[in-house]
This record gives sequence, C-alpha cells and structure tokens, in this order.
Amino acid sequence: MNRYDCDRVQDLLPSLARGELLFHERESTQSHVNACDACRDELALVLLIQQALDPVPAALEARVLAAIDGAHAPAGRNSLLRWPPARLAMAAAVTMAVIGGSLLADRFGGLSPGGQATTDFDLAGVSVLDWSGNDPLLHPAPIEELTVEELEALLAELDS
Amino acid sequence: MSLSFPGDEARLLDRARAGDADARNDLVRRYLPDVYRVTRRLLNDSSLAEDAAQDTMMSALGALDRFRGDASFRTWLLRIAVNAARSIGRRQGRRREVSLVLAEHEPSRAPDPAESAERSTEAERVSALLERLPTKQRMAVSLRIQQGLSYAEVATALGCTQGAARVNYHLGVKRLRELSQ
Repeated sequence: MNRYDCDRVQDLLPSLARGELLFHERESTQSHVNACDACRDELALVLLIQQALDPVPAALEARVLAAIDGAHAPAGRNSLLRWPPARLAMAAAVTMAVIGGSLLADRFGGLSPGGQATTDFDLAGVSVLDWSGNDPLLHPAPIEELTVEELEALLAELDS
Repeated sequence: MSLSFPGDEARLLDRARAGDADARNDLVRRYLPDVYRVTRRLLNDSSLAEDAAQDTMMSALGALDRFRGDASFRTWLLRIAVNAARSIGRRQGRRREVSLVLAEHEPSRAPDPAESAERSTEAERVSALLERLPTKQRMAVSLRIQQGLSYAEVATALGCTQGAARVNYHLGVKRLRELSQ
C-alpha cells in the first residue's frame, strides 16, 4: 500500500460513500479500502459526516415561498400601500370625483356611444357632460374596476 | 442531495425565467435544503442561516437570466449561498464568519456544553466537531461530502482554486480525525 494509492482513494471516498463511482472504479477503491486501515477509518468518518446533515427547519420552505411570491407579485398589486399619505389623499379626491361624476351620469343620463363629449341635456341652463373614454381623468370604467396603474395614470395627469 | 436530470432542470429553469410561478416554487423546493445546509454550516446559527437561505433563493430567482450555465445550477446557487451567508455574517459582526480568507487559520468557537449534550448520536457528534474546523476546511468538507460536489465545484462555490479546495478538504478531514480520537 503506497501513499499515492491512499491519496487517490481518499479523494474518491466521498463519491464511493454516495454510490457515484463507476463499477471498475468502485471495485478498485473498495478493494484498497478493505486492505488499508487508514483509508477504512477515513471512509467511516466520511460516512458519519455524510449522515450529519443539519435538519432543515419545517417552516423555512413556506417562508421562502411566501417571500418569493411577494417579490414576484404584479408591480401594482401592493404599490398603493407604499404611496405617501399626500399621494393617497390625492387619490381619494380623484376617486370621490369619479364616483360623484358617475352618480350624476347615472342620475341624469347614460354614456354616449363613441366616447365623444356631448351635452345630453340641459337642466336649468346647466350643461352636464357625459364621460369620455379619451381622458384618463374621466375613465369610462366604473371606479371599482380601475387598476392601480390606471389610478396612477390619473394622478400623473393631476400632477401635470 | 438534490437529484435531477439536466434536461428536466433546463426546462424548469426556462419556465422559471418565463415567469412561471410553479417552476419557481419547484426550484425552491428542490434546492432550498442544500442551500440552507450550506448557510447553516457557514454561519453556525440556524436563524441567520434561514435569512441567508431566503436571500439566496430570492437573489438567484431574480437573476436567472444571468445564469449562463458555466457551472451547474446547483453549484451556481451554492456560490450565491456562500456569498449570502458571508454578507449576513459581516452584518452581524461575527468575525469568525466574516471572511473565508480571514478565517482560514482561525478555529471556530467550541460547541456550547448544553448544545453538545443534546448531540447524542455519533453523527451529531461529528457535526459538532465539524463546527470546530476553520471555515474554509469546514466548508470544503461539507460541500465535498455532504453536498457531493467535486473539487472543481467546491472551488467554484467557495471562490478559490481547485487545488485550495482539495487541500482544505484533506486538512479538514485530517483535523476531524484528530478531534474525534
């Protein structure tokens, strides 16, 4: 048994312990180990180390999956929560204006097809315009259907 | 150990890159145990290791486009895990985990007596001894034996040469034999 053989075999012991050696390699390594005290001791140690895997905390997978799900959520899904208070107040004002306008439109008449701003009727000399689909501030969709992106577009319009 | 076929893994990665949430979750389930064990072995602290494992998976999944396939995905991931653990170790001011380079000749802390008492089996005793190795040796032994990496892969994960990975592995095993006698 020479040192070169031991060095070569000891390099292969982790692979032997994991059953990853090809047949002829496994046979020659095993044969050396059977005849060499030092390599047999080292194989025993390698097997022990292999068994000494740290247990993975049960809740870790759920925690990581939740974090990744949050990180890959659609951009606008939670962005309202990150808005500063002043911006939220402005959004609330826009929302109220949209809802108020919607109620007026429901009360005094429907939307005109084609999205053109038209005067549907005169009421004591006050013209009431219906909603136009061309203006982000006057989006034809019901307010509850507006996405965060659409609300942000409305705010951008206000800012400008 | 994570078992996978290269074709299967490549398809999974393609789906994850395309934004498939199920594929991302499959990657997490497949590799998180290995990632956690590496961060745990490097930091010697379960709570910090969990943070590092989470950082690893989030960084990796956010940068899948940058995985070029030079190494296996698992090796690339474990490399990120080593970096994440080192980063957290630095932030915690734990000098023994701060740098693999600085820690090369620095033995880890002796195991806590109460903690040692709980490690009743022989494998657990070896695990406790493993924690007493210098960081580079500990990681080389753990990656080679527990994660089944080749010396080339250990070198990639630790950011060192293949020769250094081999030397640290053998020094670690030798030291473990001395400690266990």
